[in-house]
Amino acid sequence: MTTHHPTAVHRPPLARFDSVRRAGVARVETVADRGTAYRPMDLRFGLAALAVAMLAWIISLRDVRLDAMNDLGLLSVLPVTFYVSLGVLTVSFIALLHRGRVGDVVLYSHVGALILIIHGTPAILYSTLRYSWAWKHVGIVDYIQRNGTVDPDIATLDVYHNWPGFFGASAIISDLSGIDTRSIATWAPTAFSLLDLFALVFVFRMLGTNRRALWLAVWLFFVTNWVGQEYFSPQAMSYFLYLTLVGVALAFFARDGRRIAHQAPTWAPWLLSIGLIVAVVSSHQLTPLMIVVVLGGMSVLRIARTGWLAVFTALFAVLWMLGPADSFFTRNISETLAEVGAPATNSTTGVVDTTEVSSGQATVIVIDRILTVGLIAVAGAGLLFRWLRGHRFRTEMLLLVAPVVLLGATDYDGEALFRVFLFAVPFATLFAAHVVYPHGNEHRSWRAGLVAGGAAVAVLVAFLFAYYGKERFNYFTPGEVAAAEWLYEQAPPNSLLIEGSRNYPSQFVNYENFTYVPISREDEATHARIAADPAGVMADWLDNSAYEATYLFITRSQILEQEALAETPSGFLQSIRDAVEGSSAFEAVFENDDAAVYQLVYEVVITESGAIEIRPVEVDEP
Amino acid sequence: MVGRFAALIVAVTTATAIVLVADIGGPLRAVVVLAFFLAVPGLAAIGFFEPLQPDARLVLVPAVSIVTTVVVAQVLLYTGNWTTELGYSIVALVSLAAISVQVVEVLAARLGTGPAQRLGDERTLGRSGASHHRPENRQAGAASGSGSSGTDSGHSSS
Repeated sequence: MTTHHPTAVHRPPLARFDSVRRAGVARVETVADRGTAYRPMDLRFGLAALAVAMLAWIISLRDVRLDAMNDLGLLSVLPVTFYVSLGVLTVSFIALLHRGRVGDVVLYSHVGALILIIHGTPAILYSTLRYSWAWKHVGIVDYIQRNGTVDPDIATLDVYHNWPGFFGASAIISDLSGIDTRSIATWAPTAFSLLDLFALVFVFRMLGTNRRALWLAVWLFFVTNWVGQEYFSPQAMSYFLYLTLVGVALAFFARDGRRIAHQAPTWAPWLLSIGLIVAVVSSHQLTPLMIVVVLGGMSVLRIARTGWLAVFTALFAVLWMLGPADSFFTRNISETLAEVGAPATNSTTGVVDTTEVSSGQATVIVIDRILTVGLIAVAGAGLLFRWLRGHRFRTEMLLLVAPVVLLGATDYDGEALFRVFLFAVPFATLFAAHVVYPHGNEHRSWRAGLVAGGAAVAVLVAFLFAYYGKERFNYFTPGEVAAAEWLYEQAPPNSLLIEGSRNYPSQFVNYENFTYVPISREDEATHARIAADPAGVMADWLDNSAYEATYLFITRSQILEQEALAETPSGFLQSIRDAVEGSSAFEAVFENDDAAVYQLVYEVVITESGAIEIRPVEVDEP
Repeated sequence: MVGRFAALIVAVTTATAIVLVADIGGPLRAVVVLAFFLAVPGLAAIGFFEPLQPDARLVLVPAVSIVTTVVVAQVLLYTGNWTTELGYSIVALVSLAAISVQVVEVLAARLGTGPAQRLGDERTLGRSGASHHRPENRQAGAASGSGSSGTDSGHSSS
């Protein structure tokens, strides 16, 4: 062992035997650290930087005026102390990583602090749950808590009732812990990101990545993964479980003798893998496909003995669609099949035309794309660089490329391209990190440190635009939440809810009581008709005796989202609110500065024949 | 390790039972119940995979816990027996059963191999067959570890 390169990294991927654990690991670490012994000074520097970063961050959270947020999102209102905090953290992390003279705990703490700053900032500043879809997911938990079951045939958000694993688990935890589901959801991005941190380190270790590349890749992951899929969702949970399964496959099923003991896997890793697969398949539609491709690929490429696990995943996913999810599957089979084998369509449905959105959003989207393309380019360069030197990276290549298969299978409501990025990004950052630290022993190269630092800062700036860029309408004011709470708690079952768009605190309680008509989703002809006579068309829609009650709900976040994404003409929703507000035919049954709930005003009329009739007040001609 | 994990599991499981039965609210309930569902099943299972590095434990403990809770929730939903207390009971029973098996194995091993072994330190003695303890395997394991410390040797082998 003493012949190994003294500065190279590090400990065994898996200390599989007691001898290794008790003595071997200590010895291996000694060897690995001979050139890079831990230094108390580095530790003190790291802890001091951590303290300064945290202090600056806490100070930055005071006096942030959320109402001043502009079209570029949260960045427009964060004070300079926020950037000082992230700057200190980044410099400290890269310096410690480059010198390699602190233990993993310090590096874990730095990445943990990064996660806390990025995801904790909205959680603390907003005092309300951000992002409309998180509210809808809270609504599924609420449904399970009230009904003790799911309804696979439900009219709205039926997909979640057919794959309810995540929601069932959340319902149990929320119910028994006494923590409101909204509070859990508020901190879910932080919690899932921390779990992903553990999973990434695990996977990268199992891949045998050198220590510097490993930690740089982990850091880059959290500042390049801008697609925001760590919110309270089945995807966030399934993603963590997927990464864990990849790590487990490499740790316990790899054919490569250096990653695993020279023995067949015992029952425990099998049971664990099956458990992970069952939890994912019963919670999410997309991730099982990734599992099949990756585990199948590992088997075919003779990386790991995971063939049967891939077969099990595929079979179980099919059984789930034919069993618990059969009603959803039957209803959507034609649409699903149409998407299979149409990668070109699937990859373009979610791509926004930047000429159609607001200038702020166009900037954000361009930065999204620069970040994405930049990462792919650097990762590609890293791959090529290593390939030319004879390193084949079969496993890493498989994990990087496998997500592309998703494009051939589904458009996932325009989301497919973003999910491909989500699943590919850890391994893209791994290749990118290898550009800087191909061997892990570059501690004497100041150039490598400079490149790592420069890349980390550049990527961070882009990330802050990309990740926080939609916060103006992802943030919901307490006024909007109060209005939504009033509406969702007052409305009787079988209500009609006409909403400006889908972007507001929606469907989080009693959500099955409504039929939803989002105005923004109507076609252009309807939009033109509404623009010509907003009050008349709204009155016409609301006067519907098929429902127990009818409501029109317009909020600040709906208006801002529409202004930013321009799905409707500029000023469209505001003009509807103005028209309704100025008409005697409507009454604002709940109203504040940020939201209003309108209902029709009815009058009692005695007809010429003497009959008493209740009918809506007529709307004035526009 | 098994001994410490067993004590922790019993403590958190009991504390959870107490806050649920006595209907204690507030932060204490939140912390105890979260700790139970996010850690106890994983702590109960982790012994079956030992010896592991701390990195592996950090991920396997929450992963196993989440999987257990999801699977139990699905069983409750699809069998029409949705009560969250039943969910707690099943998770608690499964976890206690899993750790009990390991405790019994360790105790049996202690009785079988003499008093020298401390509880939990050598759980593999109780579980593993003789093949796990062949000296050459130990060497192979140690060598494999240091092997990955070579220059990108993990990659070059793949």
